[in-house]
Amino acid sequence: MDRDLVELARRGDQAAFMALVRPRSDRLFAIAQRILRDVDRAEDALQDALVIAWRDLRGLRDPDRFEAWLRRLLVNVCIRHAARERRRAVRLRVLPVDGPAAPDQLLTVADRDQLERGFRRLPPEQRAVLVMHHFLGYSPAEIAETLAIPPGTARSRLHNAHRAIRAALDADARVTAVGGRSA
Amino acid sequence: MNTDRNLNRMLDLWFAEGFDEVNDHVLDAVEGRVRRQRQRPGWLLVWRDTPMNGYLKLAIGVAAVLVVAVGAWQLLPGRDGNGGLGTPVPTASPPASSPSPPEFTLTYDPELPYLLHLTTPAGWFRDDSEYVLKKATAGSELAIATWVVENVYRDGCRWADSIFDPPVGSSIDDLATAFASLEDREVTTPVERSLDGFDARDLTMTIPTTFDAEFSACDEGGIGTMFRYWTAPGGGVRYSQGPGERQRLLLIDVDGTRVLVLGRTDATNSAAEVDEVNSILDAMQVESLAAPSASP
Repeated sequence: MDRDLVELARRGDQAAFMALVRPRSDRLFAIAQRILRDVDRAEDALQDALVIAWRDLRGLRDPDRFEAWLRRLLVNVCIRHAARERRRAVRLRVLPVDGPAAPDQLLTVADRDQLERGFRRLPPEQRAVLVMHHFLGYSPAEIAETLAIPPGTARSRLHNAHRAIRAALDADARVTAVGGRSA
Repeated sequence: MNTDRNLNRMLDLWFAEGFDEVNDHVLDAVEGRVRRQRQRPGWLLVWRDTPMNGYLKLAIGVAAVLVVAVGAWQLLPGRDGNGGLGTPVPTASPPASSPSPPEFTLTYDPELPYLLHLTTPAGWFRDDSEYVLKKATAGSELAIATWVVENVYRDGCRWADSIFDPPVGSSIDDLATAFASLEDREVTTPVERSLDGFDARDLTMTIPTTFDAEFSACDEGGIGTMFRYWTAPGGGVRYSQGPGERQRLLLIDVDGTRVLVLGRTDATNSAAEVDEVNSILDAMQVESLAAPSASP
């Protein structure tokens, strides 16, 4: 069914394209929001990615790969948005307390705070691989294929991202211990 | 707290939290933009999805305004030294002027310190992409674009395990040498050139026509089987649009930035069309935006 919709959309059928992306939009938005850590920016990134997908859909040779192709477009758009955000040092909107789902109470408020600040210090490419690995459950090989990077690069990005966020958390813990910062 | 296992667990939990539903207004906006957005021709598309950056749009807008302004200035009466604005010469007709040739400004990333200026014959255009195009008589399109190359695939068809390792070095000679070493396609010997004072290497790369149109025996990437040329920083991949594709490649050292410019034709294009692409590339102007080094 999706394959038919992709073929129609490739021939310029806008309704078919919207029928393809609507059921996927929540998941795509969730990915963008986790990379960018901001709802407004995630909405912008999703919009851009979907319009690019429409524009470039005729370049998709295998309609069965639509989903993977779309995710890759979105992740790369998010990386660029995140890079701009870092360059401009924009203050990001803090997530409202009652907004996101909180399926597990094992994380403390302090954990979340540390993760948030550690994550935002990471380069956009490292943010993206963390989200792909921990949120989407991708292996390094799947990350490599999705981002069209060598598998070794995907592994090293993931390793460096883990190392960087661990360092950020450890540094935070030291500050907390010395300065008694409240969470 | 931060052992590997704990960190992985924390990240799993943390990413499970968050917003999972998109607001309807986002899809409404997408629908509106899709109605206005023309689709790109399939053969042209590379696996590179950079939306046109605001700076680039601004530069193109400024260039367009300048073209219009210069054209209007040329049409002003009395512009030949005796007047100007407010000095009409009723008896003189403005000289007949032919339309200005199309001009385009290219860059791979507006953050990079270089610009390329192209002046083309009539018929070239640019859609909402990084490519400057012309419809060819056989139905395909001639194309010119710029890239920044990060690494190269040694085997374009069996690319999955063939990326250069260690990666290709950072100089134009490193890249030219890597291209010249490829055995799965026809590559001319790189020629040393100077473009607007910048050191450059000039070569042509042609994909054999022995492949089928879909490269169906090649490795599969995110969008199907493909023949890959190179990767770019940030994840872009340039892949072939089909057997017989020919790329004139200019590798330019623009004050330390290694810039690639490609002129794309294919086996269906006439010699005149290939010459037209080459003429545009030969007349291209290269501008460095790098800050001048401080005096000692």
